[in-house]
Amino acid sequence: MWALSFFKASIFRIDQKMSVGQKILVIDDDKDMVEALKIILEGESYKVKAAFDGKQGLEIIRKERPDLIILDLLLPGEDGVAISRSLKDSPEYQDIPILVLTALARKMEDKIFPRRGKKALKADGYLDKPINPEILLAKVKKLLK
Amino acid sequence: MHNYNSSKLEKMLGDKFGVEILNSIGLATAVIDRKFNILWANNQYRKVQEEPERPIIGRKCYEVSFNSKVPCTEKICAVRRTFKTGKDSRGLKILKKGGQEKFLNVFSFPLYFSEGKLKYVVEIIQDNTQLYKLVELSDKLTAYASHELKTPLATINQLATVLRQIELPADKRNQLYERIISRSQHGLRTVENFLIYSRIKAGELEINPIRTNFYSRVVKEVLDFHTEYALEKEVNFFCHIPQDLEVVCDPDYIQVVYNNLITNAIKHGGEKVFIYLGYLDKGDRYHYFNVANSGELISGEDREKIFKRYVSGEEKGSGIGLDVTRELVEKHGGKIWVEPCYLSSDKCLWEKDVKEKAGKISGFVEGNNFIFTISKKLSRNSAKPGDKK
Repeated sequence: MWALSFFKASIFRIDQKMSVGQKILVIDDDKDMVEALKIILEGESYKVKAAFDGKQGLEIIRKERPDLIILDLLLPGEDGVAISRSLKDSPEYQDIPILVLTALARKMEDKIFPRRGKKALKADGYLDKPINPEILLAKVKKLLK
Repeated sequence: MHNYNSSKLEKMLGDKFGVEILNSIGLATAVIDRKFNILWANNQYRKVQEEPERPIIGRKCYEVSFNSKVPCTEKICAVRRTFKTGKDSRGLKILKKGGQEKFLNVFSFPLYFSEGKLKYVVEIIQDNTQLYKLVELSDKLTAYASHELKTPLATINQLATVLRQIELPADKRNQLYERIISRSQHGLRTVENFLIYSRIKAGELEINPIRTNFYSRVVKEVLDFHTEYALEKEVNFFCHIPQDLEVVCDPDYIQVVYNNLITNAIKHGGEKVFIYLGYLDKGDRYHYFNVANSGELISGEDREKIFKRYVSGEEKGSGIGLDVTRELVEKHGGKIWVEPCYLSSDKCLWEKDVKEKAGKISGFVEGNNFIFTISKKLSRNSAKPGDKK
């Protein structure tokens, strides 16, 4: 049992001061996935807001200006690629880091999400679903530095 | 069977026996010369080329097949390869005529003469469109099944990972366990649909009709199943099915019908959808059941094709749910269709009522009404499909 506790402690040891008050917006249409992300991130004192489609997400971005956006790619209505492009093309929001979260992340190097051209995804990092909490927190921490 | 220019072919081949063989093949057959002129062809050949009216003898084979002015490349043309190598060859022709794709397997054989010259090639075509479409359908089904199962499995994996790695208060843990159970049930229901679908396709689906208390054995169990999901999506159910209603049906399969219709209603009705379950006895040979939902109306065109395979086009759905539903209803000697309706918490106005009461329907919301029937003549333990409305 002590070994498991040590394992947990080592995974989630994080600079509490850095994360306190930092706002993260999660845009994903899967409520259970959002709940899982909230548990992981709130456990590290991040303030988490959730949106279940692109339209709702953009409203929250305008109102609350999060410090980081975690964005699913397959969304109802405007998809994650379009959202990432509109944010990164906007002078007002282009400095907000975007972490793309998708079951398709392994294919990012393929032709599905080209890095150039009109259909290019514009993001600062990506993460494969299902998420490993340790990797998620490490990427979030890095992007919020 | 009338074949073209058999006597001319005999002259060319100098052998009546050869003509008899070509005639007896029973598949679309043609004799083609080195300049790709069709010298002889049977009726099947003309039919398979979708050229029932125009003569094809003397025309170029590439012109007949592809309306092209230039010969096909060696890579795709089996006839050309046979002329080059002197050996038999095979290939695939994909014709796009009349808006339909045809998949034709082509076999070409050299026709040598006694002096050893290769002057002609016999082209035999087998129309395997049906087979290719089935393979395509099967691939599509596999892709859909994988997609449908991947989402709940990924979520279950995610929630289980969180439970394993993060210490949570008991109520939160229980909440996540409930979600895992709910998502796994969703996955199981998807698998169930695919299993029924494969049984239908194999012609192995048999229903087992028994006298059933419809409310307790079917409706209540379905509503209990959807409780968790309904709470999450803020769905409002209104059930107006008599609690003492007795129906001869296969309760397990009718549950699948309800599950699919309710899942469809929640998916397409969006958050806070209003779902009405009803029953009507018109005094004829059928029990009439309906599952109506508020939300975006299904267009007239979509109403026609919604129960046909893979037409939902939804990323979220496999598109087989309603197809399976239709098959199960038909196994019960019934029919299923969808029409617009008006809904309130205690009433659902069907299309006929809507037309009659046009302009007098305040207090109602617009919706889609899925109506299915079960034959009253369905006898216990004897499924007799085809007793349709």
